Amino acid sequence: MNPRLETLILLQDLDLMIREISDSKTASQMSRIGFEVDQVENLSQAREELARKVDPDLLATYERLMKRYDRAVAPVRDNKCLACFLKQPTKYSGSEDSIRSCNHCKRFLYII
Amino acid sequence: MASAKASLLMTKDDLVSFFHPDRFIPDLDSETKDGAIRSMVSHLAERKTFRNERIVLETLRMREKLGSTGIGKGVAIPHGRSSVTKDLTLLFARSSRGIDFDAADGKPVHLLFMILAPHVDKENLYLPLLGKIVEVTRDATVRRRLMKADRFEAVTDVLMKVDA
Repeated sequence: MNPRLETLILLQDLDLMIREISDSKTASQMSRIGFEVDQVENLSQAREELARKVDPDLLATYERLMKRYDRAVAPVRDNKCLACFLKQPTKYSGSEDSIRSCNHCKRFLYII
Repeated sequence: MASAKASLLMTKDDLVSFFHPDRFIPDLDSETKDGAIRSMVSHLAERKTFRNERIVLETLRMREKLGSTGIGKGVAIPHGRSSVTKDLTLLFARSSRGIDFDAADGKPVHLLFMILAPHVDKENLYLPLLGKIVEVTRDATVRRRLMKADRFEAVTDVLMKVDA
C-alpha cells in the first residue's frame, strides 16, 4: 500500500477514535466496562504528530473531506467505492504509486 | 474490574462463537506489552484477517495511549476499531511467564484477549463483547481454568460452563 495512503488511513482511525471517546456516552460505557480512557490529550498529541507527516495539500483535502463526510478514506471492493457505492470508471488495484480518489465522492480509496 | 450492562446483551454461545482455534496462541513468548501486541497482530495478519498489519498495530498502540487495556487480575484486552478490519475479531492468547502490561493493579498479564472491529459494526457487538470478556474473567476460577486448558476445545468448554 502507498505509504502516504497508509498514513491517511491511520490518521482517520485516530480521528475516529478521538471522536468516539470524546462522546460522553461512549466514554461512560467504556468506564463502566472497566477501561479508563482519560488520557485523550495523549491521543490528540499523537494525532498532531501524525498530521505533520502528511503533505499539507493532501492534509487540507483530508480535513475538508472529514468535515463534509464522516470519513475521508473509503474502502473499495469490486471497483465500487463502499462509501458512496458508485462504480469507478477504471479498475483500481491498490498497488498504484499515486493515491486514488473516488470519481464521484472524492474520498481517498483503499482496498480492504 | 467494573461490571458492564452491555455484556448482558451477549450470551455464552455468542461469546464462544468469537473464539477460533486459528486465533488462539497457547503461550506467547513476548516479554513486553508492545511485543505481545505485535505478536498477536502478526498472528492475525498471517491468517489474512486484514491486509495491512502496520495500520492495525499502530491503531492498537494509539489505543494504549488512552490508558492501558490491562484491566487487572492478570487480564488484558487490547482493542480498537480500524478502517482495515472487515469483521469483529477476537484473538485469545496466554502467557505463562506473564507480561508487564502497565495493568491497573500493576500485576503481570497472563490472559490476553485482542478485539478488533470495523468502524461500522452492524450488529453493534463490539462493546458487548468487551463487556462479556471483562465479566467472565472476573471469576478467579475461570481465569485459572483458562490458563490450565490444554487445548482450544478445553478453552471453549471453560467458557460454556461460566455462570453468566
